Amino acid sequence: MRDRARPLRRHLSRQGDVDRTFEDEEVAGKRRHVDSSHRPDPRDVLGLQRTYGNRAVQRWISGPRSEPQPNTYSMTNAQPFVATIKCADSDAEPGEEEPKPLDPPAVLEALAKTQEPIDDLEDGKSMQLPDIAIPETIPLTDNDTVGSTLAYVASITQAGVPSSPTKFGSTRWSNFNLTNITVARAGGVFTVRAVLMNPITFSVQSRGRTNIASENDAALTDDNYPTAASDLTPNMGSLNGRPARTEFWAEDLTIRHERFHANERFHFAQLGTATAQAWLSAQVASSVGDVRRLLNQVPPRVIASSQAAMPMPGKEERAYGDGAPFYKVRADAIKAKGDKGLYP
Amino acid sequence: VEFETLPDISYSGPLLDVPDPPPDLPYVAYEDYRARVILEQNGIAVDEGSLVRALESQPNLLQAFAAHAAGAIGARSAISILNNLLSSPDDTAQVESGFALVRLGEDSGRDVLVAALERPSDAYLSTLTAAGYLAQSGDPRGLPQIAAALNSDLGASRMLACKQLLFFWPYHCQPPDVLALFTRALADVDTNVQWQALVQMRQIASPTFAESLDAYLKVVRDAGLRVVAGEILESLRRL
Repeated sequence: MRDRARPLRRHLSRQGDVDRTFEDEEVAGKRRHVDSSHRPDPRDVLGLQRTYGNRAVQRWISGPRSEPQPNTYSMTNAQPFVATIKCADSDAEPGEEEPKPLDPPAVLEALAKTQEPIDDLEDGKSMQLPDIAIPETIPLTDNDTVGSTLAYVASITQAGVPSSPTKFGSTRWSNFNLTNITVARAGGVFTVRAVLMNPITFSVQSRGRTNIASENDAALTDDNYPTAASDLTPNMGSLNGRPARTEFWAEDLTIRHERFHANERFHFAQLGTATAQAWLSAQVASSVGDVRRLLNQVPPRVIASSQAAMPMPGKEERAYGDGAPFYKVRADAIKAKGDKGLYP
Repeated sequence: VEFETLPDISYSGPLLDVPDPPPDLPYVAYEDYRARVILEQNGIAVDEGSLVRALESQPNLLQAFAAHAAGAIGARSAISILNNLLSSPDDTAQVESGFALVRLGEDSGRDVLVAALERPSDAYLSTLTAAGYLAQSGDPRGLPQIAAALNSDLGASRMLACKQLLFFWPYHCQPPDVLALFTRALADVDTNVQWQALVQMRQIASPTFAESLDAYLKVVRDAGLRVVAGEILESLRRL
């Protein structure tokens, strides 16, 4: 059932889908995506304002503060990973097989050795050619297929500190675990099932700045509010909205920024998994050992494909663009309150 | 049917947190920048000796990035191992080594890039990379693969195909109609692909983009993309 009381809205249009808005919902204790394309784009503040008014914008912006998002959640690829691999059959014990790719020149050479020379045919005559039999010394085998189902599951966790003291935040996403791998063989077909786990972690740090959670933050004074407002105002000339943050920062919006990166890594890894599936389908395996060797290549291929799927440049430009409206609302609110003399 | 359980496979990839390139860096230099940053993040200096060692010892992505960087810095001492990597089972390392050799003036690399075009691009993304590399070195024969991949069901294929479009722009006429491919990319369901097309159109800055951008502005819903497309169109009208 959808938990409408605690929606964790996350719009992924910049991460792969123009028209779809996603929410998480609690299902049997796990979060998963649901399509809610009928809803307004929550990142399009102007659209939200036009449709639902300023209160809706305020509610949207203040929502995460009043009901904090969990630091860890899981997202499961709804589409199973299915691949079909051409397979050369062999009966060695699992794990004992050696790859034996078919060598066409060797086959032709062996065939030639078994065949008697044939005289040229005179014009206007016909002749019957001898049968062609594949020598038993050539390890020709039937081609079968391998079907596999690989589910991609990512967990996103806030943990640790950024990779550099000069960063407000960073995201780590390149660890993959292929678990619950099973292989079945029946009717000349290998069936592989596995789960590709991708723990994504992000972290943020203040770098000595003071956190400003809202225009009502106790740290704001009549003396410092101009600097706070300036620090949190998105600079559209710098990466499409990077705020200056010389003395003040907004932890929740920095977390939002890193979540954006984590969510896009989830999206790109999904694309990478689909590409790895296509690659698996193009391979030839002769044994369970071969299948395992192929599976060893899945994680680095998912990473490579994920990298390929990521736009370049634009990583930060789009992430800062995502947060810019929220920084602006906060900075404007601080300035408005301060200009009215409402800070101590 | 009895199932056999295989042991788990754990893989910890290299650090790949590449910051955006400097704003004044030309598009054609992005992949050089990316290779350099990733290698340095992972403790591999971008000099001839370090790259040769990385080519000999690193697996997967870092080997491929080392090959790319070797070509970018003109590391002639890497030619021998790059030639060996032309027969690597890793198609990415193969193609990156091929392009590095082409940049180093070695013809052996070009054949590998041409051969890579025969592989199905959904299964082997290096096919699309090879098409772009060939175009950068004066050979646009990979354009059909790029055009086909822009219609792929796989998002990574469409994105990687889109990333190559700028390299084919010097060959634009009708045919081949590279402008139509940019228009196709702008109509992609993935806003990242639209963005990637806009980034390249911004750099090419051809007045022939005006009509496509005008049409795009009438349908684009993403506010950020609308701003970028509007800025490009405005700059084209000032030309």
